Amino acid sequence: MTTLRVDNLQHQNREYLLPLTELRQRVIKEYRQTYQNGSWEPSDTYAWAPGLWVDYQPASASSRIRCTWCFNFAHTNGHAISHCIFYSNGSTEEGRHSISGQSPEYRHTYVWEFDSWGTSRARIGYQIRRYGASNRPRFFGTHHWEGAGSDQTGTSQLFIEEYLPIT
Amino acid sequence: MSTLITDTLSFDPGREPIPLTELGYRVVKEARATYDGGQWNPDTNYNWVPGMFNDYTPLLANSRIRMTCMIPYARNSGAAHCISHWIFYANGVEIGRHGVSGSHHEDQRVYVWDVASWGTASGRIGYQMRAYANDNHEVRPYTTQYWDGGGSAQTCRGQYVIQEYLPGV
Repeated sequence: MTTLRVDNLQHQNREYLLPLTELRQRVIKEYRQTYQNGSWEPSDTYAWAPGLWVDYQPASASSRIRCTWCFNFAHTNGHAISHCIFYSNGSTEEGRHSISGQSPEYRHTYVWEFDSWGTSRARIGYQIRRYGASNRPRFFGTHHWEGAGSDQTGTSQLFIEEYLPIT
Repeated sequence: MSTLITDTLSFDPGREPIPLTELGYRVVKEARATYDGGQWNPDTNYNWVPGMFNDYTPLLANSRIRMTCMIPYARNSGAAHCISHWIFYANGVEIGRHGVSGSHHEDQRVYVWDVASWGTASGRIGYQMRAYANDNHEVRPYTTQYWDGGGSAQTCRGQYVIQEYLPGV
């Protein structure tokens, strides 16, 4: 076999072929996960939220990793308060926030993005605790449904796109 | 015309071309819509949320379809605590359900759903929604309750984007 080297490549219609390396964001690996195992109430100690973490192995050490986390949040008895910390590479805190409110029932979407930590497998995701026993949050379900109190099983989804940026 | 077959194609000065099939997220079709039709008053039956569904024909049977929905909403004036129920469907199959409920809430939220292609026949993808109860505990999409220092129902815009993509192998 031989190697052909030219200044440019063209289709028959004279359009130039562009190398994929010119994409500003070239996704090199993607991952997705669905969780439907019902409600979860966190305790007063931080713990990995079920379905909201993944042990991920980056394809490249020079990439960036974009995470989109989608899940339900509801209350148990009115004013619910929770605290969430998002980690990459097992123990690197990327950020923290609360999810709280008066009688809240929502679906939340959060996007986090950070540099690849290398090509070893490590955990990405949320550790969550509640504020206390008097302000109980409940994840992944509902509180009311169709005119009554009813905890419906929600569907969590998380997506990862690992991409190479042009530098 | 002739066909050239070689084991290597190189751009000058030597960058290797990468086949599209190596992309980890290759969009093969997309659809999007904007809704400016004003507030919508749900009842206690599930109905398709206006502006938040699409009769979509997948390009491929082995792709994935990701729909991103941006939905503004507010409570109706009838009750401080508003409750609504939402179910996302793709081709007649429930993908997931959740509430949009709370006290004195006015917000716009983003919902992302990702499903496997159901084939290459047209199918509806999007949200059905109902209120917890009529004329009380209502959540109304596409409007506000307060605005600029007073009670004011502003017309809010909804948008969705569908990306059909082939994941990496």
